[in-house]
Amino acid sequence: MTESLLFFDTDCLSAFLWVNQENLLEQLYCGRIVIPAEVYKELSIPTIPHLKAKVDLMLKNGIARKASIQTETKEYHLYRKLVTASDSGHVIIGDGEAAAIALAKVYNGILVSNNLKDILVYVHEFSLQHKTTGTILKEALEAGLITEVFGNQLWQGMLKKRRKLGFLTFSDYLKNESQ
Amino acid sequence: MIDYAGLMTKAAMLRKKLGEDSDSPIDVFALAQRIEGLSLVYYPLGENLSGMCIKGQGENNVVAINSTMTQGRQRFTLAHEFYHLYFDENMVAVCEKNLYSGKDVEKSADLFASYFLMPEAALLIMAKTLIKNSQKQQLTLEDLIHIEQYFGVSHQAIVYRLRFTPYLEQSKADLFFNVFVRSRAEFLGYSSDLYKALPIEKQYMTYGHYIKQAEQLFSKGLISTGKYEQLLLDAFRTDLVYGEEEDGDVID
Repeated sequence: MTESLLFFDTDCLSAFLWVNQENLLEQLYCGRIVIPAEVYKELSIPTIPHLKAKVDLMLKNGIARKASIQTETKEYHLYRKLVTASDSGHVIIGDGEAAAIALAKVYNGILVSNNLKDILVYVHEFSLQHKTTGTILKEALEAGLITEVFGNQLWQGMLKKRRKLGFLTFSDYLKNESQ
Repeated sequence: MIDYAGLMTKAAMLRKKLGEDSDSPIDVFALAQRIEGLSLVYYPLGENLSGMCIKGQGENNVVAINSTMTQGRQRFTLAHEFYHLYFDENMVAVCEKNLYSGKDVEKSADLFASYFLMPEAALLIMAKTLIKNSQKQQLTLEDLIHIEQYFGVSHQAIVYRLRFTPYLEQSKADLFFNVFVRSRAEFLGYSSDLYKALPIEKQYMTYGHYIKQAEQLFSKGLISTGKYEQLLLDAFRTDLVYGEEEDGDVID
């Protein structure tokens, strides 16, 4: 059975890039990582060239692939709806997260995003499979790729780069998951 | 035709309007950030342009500065754009790098910038005092460096301005115009920041209205965290999204 593709939002992908752990993504999901063009653009800001260089290397080595949304496709119409918040009661979401949601929905993939407050409504509405940075680190722990201590160090590094992880430590996250 | 006296008056009026006195050096970057409705963008605009001014509906204006230029020249360009912002009837101004060239409106903006940053009376008193102290007839290169450091303008801007005064004759001005002054300024004990461009990774930045607007959209709950970060990244504010390398405020 073909495993589902993972459609990454900027927040989650950048969290791993900032702590130099894109290799974890490679070991867990090599070839299944999809970076929407809108996310690629958000990571191509000239003031953070090192992040773009890492993404380019992932693309070059086939660890990840880039996906563009073509006009007049199903995903395009959904994407437009999300970025303009044409449904009342919904906030306008970012181009990167909207692209990741639209692509995950249409291609029956997994949405990888941390912005739970804003995207959970779509996860439920579209019955999307969903992962966060915490989920990925937990999978890395279970696969023996990291220890809990190292996971906590990465967690702190990500928090330092203002990534919104929902818990103060990786251990707190694991505790909450086991309850 | 250029109205020199009128430009001098306009420069004095704007200083007053923006809360500055009539003769002190101005931190024009900080001043721009206090102007309501103005977004200030630093961006490498290439070799031929120094800046741009785009006036929008209501108080929604953008000034862009070519961030590859030296900091002294960037300060001059910003003051030049103030002319377009406050006194030019055109809604868009795209400004060439060469000083005192092109259309009259561009020459006027350059002269305005010069008067705005270096008020006539303050400049002439300083020039006269330096000449008196050195007991020479004309300003020396060291004097010019002292003046440009005091007012925080580029070397070219100071030579252009003073060559119209009795303190710097044309032949000397021509000579000084193409002199590289950075190392001379360093040997005189000055910081050379004025003569340097920022490092490439710091040549992209946005301040002012745009950043405030994005924050308001977010705080009112109209946009998601992801959208807010996207807007900040579009404005090159990776420092606000990801923090500085060494995070944290210092209280002193």
